[in-house]
Amino acid sequence: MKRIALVCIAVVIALGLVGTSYAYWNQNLYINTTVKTGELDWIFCSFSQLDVPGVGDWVGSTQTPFFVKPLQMEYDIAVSSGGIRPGDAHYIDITVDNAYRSYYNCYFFSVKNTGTMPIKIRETVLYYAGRAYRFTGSSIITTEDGVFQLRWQGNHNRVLQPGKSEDESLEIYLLNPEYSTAEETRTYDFTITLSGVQVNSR
Amino acid sequence: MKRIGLLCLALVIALAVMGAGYAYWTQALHVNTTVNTGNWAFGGSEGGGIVPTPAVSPGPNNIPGYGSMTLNSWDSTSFTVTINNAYPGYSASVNYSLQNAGTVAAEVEWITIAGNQMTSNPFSFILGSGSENNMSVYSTLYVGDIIPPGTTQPFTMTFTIPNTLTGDENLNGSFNVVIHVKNAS
Repeated sequence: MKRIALVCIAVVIALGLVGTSYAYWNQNLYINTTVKTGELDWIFCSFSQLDVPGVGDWVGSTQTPFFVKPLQMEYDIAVSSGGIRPGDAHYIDITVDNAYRSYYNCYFFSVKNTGTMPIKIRETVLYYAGRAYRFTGSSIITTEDGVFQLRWQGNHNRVLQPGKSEDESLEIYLLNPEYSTAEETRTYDFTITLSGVQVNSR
Repeated sequence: MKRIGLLCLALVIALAVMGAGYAYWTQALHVNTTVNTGNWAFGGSEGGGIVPTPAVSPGPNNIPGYGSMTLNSWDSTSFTVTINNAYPGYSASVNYSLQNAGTVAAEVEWITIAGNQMTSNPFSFILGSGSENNMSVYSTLYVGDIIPPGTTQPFTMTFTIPNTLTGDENLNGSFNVVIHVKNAS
């Protein structure tokens, strides 16, 4: 029994020596890395409109483009309401009620970069009557149903730094009888949102 | 008894003479050998390893002023870096040198990244709990590379977040790169 024990001890020692020798001839190099990514986000931070309650409505020019020199009437007939969507400031909801042909309104709002890196506004998207109208620069369009003419003004593709905001505007004009297919006693709803992307995206 | 004693004496003398004769007809040739083993010095107390001091540099396509990499600590067998406010398309590199201060060549046997064998270069993997690769590592030092004894060679390791719009926001993840170097024999 003593001889077996001695042999076992010898084997353990030998293996230990082999291990020591192996460890001696190699090396691990470690590169420890921590990565924290930033955040890309924006919100609508302010909203206002030209047609305010209690003040006379505005009507567009009788000549195209209708947005040139709108005139203010003394009667407050149409009701335009809306604002930044509660709980999700990525949207603005607008409702126009009791409007009439030649009705004009302008909506002003600001976009703020609330993330940690610069963004650019790639496009503004207006949802109306089940369709999405995309503005990639200041432009005028007529809605597919022939009811409204819209003019968007904003600085698309310009870099918006974190914490900074930028103003945009949307003008709507309810086309006059010569052009319009607007129905009576109808409420019109608009929803506005943006596509904000990080500044280095392709 | 005297005769027996004489016989014994004669036998002893004969055996002794035989021994001398045997020795006479043989020769021991001695080969004197000195074995000097090589010296392994690739980081740690033996010297060599990562040479002072690794440097970090931003990638060429970064958004100026956004995203950063800092070197937090360094010794001869490891260094620690932190990347902050990164975003899809961000990249940064660590430039470091390895010194083989020993007398035997060193060979990179394997590299693991976040516990995965580095089977391609660059090597992409998932950092955090995402569902797609959101981190890529490129190393100029790769498996099979030899660092001859007595040399110091520069290497670069580049960390990139793929330029997709699905990168993880507000990610806070850590991983290790382990480079296993052994004697090249």
